Amino acid sequence: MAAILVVEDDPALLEVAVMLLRLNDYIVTGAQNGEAALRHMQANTPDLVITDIEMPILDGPGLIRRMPVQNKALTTVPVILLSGLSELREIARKVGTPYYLSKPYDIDALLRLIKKAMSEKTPPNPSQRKVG
Amino acid sequence: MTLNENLFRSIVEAAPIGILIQTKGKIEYINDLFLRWLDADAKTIREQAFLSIVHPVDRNRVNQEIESADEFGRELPTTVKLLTASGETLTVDLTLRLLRGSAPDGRDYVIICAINTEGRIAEERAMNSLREGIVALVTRELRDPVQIILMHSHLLLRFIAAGVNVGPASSIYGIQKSAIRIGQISGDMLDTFMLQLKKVPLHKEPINLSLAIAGAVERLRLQENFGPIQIHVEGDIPMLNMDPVRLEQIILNLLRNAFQRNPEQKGIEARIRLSGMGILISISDNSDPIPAEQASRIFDLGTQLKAHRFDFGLYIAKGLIEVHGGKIWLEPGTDKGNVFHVWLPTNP
Repeated sequence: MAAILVVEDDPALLEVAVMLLRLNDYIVTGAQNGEAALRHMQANTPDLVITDIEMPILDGPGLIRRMPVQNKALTTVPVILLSGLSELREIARKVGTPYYLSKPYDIDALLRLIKKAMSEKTPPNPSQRKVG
Repeated sequence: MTLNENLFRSIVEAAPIGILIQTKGKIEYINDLFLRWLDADAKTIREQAFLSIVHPVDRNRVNQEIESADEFGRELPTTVKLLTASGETLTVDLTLRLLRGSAPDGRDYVIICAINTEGRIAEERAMNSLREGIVALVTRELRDPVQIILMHSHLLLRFIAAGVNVGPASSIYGIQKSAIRIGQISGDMLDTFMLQLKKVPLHKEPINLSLAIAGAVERLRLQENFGPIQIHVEGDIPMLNMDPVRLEQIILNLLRNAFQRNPEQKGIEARIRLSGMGILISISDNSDPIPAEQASRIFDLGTQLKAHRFDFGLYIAKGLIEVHGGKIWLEPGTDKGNVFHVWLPTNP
């Protein structure tokens, strides 16, 4: 079973996202900001990170920038960005991830994107700025 | 260029009116003031017809007016919607001075003067910008609760599909909370617009302040799980003549603000007493002092918009207090935390 780390500052949204993904047979951990996510990843390397963009303490792009600095193993982890920001595509381009979904999104679309990210395994790469 | 033309240009450039001259259907000249109103550059605008910067809803009417201009010219006071270079629509009062005549070069000219519109345009532009900011913030703010509803609905459908008759209570609770949040966001947006337009409908009637506070506390408890509230009433408090729904909303917004500043749920305090020709309500949040730079702008809508925060509760409370003839102010960093004082007249 694949391990997913979900990073979302809205506790109600985090709770239901974790529940939903667990029902879909993923091993899921939740974190309420980028710092908490990094703490979890000190000892754990998830197969996928799903993160919101705007969060207190450390935001989504900040988390993505610090992942490879913290742990070399995290350089291969794909990241899905989820956000209601109109600049989502531009932010995804900047951090170099091809995986993003605009809130509110269809749950099946998220599940399909998770499968795509898991099979392609393309990690964020700010120098490669093409997004799908 | 002759001396007379130079003189003419210097006069129209300095004129406090917008001046535009059209020749054979194209803008031949536009002064700086008119350009500023339109946010446009002279080169681009000179390729266009005046009618192309008039909003389509007014285009036929203005065209007919221009066509009917006679040789001697006449003044036409009218309200026209114009389109700026950035696509904004500005409704402005214009006085069009139309002159159809023949210049020495034999061409026909239409001269259009826009008078005394700058202040109105600036006000309209500020209002447009504010509306756009609010709509953008609200649209973003609504996405999380809508997403929560979508996810919980999906969960419930999964349970039903699996033959489980009763889904998890947390899903139903999650949907309910999100629906309340959506209602609150849309209500706050409407109130913000109404306050900006100074069109808040009020239905005043005699009301007991203690009952309004009790109602606000009950509503707050229904929506969120907050800590204890102590309410102290000093002396006999007379009835207020206010809109009861709005009074409850004022109290609710202030209590919610106090609890949000106090995540450890240490408990807040509301003190009610007579003060001059009115009643003073003081709500203490029992939390850390609000920094001075935040305190001075805490009721300011623009500050919230700039910070991309959807938290209009204090702005709305202040607006509603003021339309009832009252006032609100903040006393930061007391021994009981930050104290929001509300003074309401007993006979507004």
